[in-house]
Amino acid sequence: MRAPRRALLGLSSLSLLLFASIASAQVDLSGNWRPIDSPDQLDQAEGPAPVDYVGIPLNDQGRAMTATADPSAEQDELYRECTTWQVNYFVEGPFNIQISPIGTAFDSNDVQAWQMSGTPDRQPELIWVNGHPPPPPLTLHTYAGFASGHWEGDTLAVHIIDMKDNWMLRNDAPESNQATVDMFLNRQGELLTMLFVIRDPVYLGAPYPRARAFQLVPGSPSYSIPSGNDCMPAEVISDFSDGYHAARFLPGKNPDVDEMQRYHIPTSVALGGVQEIYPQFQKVLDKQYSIPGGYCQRDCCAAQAIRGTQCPAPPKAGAPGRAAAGERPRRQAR
Amino acid sequence: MRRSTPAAGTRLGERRGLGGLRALGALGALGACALLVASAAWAQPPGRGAALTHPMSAQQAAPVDLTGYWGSIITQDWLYRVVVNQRGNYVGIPINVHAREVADAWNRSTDEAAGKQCEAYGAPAILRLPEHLHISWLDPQTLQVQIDAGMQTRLLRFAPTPGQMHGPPSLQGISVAQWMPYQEGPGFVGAATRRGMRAHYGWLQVTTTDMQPGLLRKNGVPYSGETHMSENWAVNADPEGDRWLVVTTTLDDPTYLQVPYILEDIFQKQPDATQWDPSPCSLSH
Repeated sequence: MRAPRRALLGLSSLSLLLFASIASAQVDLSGNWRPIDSPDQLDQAEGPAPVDYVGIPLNDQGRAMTATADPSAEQDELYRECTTWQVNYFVEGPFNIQISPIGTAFDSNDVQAWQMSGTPDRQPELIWVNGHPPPPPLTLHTYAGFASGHWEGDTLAVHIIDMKDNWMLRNDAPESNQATVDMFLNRQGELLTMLFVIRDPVYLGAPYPRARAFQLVPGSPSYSIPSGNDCMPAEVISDFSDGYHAARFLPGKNPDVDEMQRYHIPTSVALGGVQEIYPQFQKVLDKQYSIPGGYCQRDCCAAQAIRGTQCPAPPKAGAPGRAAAGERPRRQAR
Repeated sequence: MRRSTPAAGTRLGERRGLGGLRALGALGALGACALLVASAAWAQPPGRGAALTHPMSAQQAAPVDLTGYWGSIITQDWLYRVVVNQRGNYVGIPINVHAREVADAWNRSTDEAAGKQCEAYGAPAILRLPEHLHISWLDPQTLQVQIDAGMQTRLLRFAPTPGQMHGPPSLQGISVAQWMPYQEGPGFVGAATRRGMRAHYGWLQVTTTDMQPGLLRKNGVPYSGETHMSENWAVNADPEGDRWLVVTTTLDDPTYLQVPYILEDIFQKQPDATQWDPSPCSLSH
């Protein structure tokens, strides 16, 4: 029986060796990557409307959170002033991403981890590709969480756990500390496509995928990426620091809750929901929707700031934009 | 992982107390197996040689299986995809002045009366719509993409004949496809691809031309017959078992766009045809 056991051992080792060579065959992701596409451009450039959660598969608890959110004030809470963005904000924000190999020189094909950095308001995401074990279950969660990755051909597949509770979008779409993110970085020549799939048993009723394309920018980034978040909470906002007020609206008191009705989107739909991300929802909505009449006067084009183009001038006076009287300020990109 | 795996094998032997001879035996088995696999990969038996002489069909060479039913997942640009927008709302598309003039002058009723309902279902726009795809091999060199929204069909040809390369402008145009198998770096995958074997990773690249003019959105945003479209189709499987198809599209239209319009569309693999719901073209829904 010893010979077959040896043969099996040899076969096992060989199999491991072969698959290990597949897993280790890394693609060079390093460089400065510039977002080049335009999904949800209005959200990226000027921030989403306060109660625009369409297309987010929120469950009832998530919808309750969005119905009472006050994004223009919540960032002023003292303990949230220095909150950084979740990893999925890499596909939401308007900024470049710097990706660097961690380990020995890339040419040795011995990268231990990849680091994704952005602006100072997000933690660098360290993606272990060397089999680094996950932290123990009760470990302290961070905004970056713990990310482990492996290569599937030219795609780096990453699984992220142990994140702090945070926002998914700038209008306070909630994300709990039980959320996980599966991220796929797929380099296609000079294009890098990122797919994020967020799962959150607390606030989401279905996986929430988001995708975006980036282009490699030769040379170093045009801005400096600090090593960490050096934000210092300092300014005291009286309303929110007295211990009695919270930066949320009471149920039924959100003044922006009907914001999306200017697009003829019912408020129940604007608050998000599982069914609305699927194609069959269009026929459900058809019964409640009519195309707004007249000519668009507000939020009609959005500056193509990412790639430097301009909106063509509208045909008549009253340039579209955000200057509508009485509109509440929106959270700016940070 | 590359470095640790052989070491793990060594540690396994040590824990089980294999002596030097047993270790040598294991190494011998390993060497023999390596030789076996190397010969399988590199030697040229008659059958394998014949395969190299006659390259695999696109279907045989597919590094990823796109076939089956897929449903669009609309989590981005929802407001511009699920409902028809107000006239003058052109958010997110880098249109130029000429395009704006055309869009502003566009009249839905006129086009509906003229039977042009499908002008918003051409290749540059159709993957944006809420829909399901049914992807299948029409023949070993042609991938057929049926779309329930507007009941359209795109043909992605891997080896078009000269007569199929160009033709009169049509709604879906002429699409030429090419697998982009993963070949970079060391390892078994690269070697296999070089030997004419099927790669296990890669994506699909599609170039589409010869399209008739149409609408990018159902509120009149135009694209011209000069539009050149390139797409990358990539599939990712997550640990929960969901499969996601991401199509990255680049539209280059010298007539109506300031810069190329780049967008992603996400589809989720469906278990069956339950949600398949063919519906006619419409400019109002």
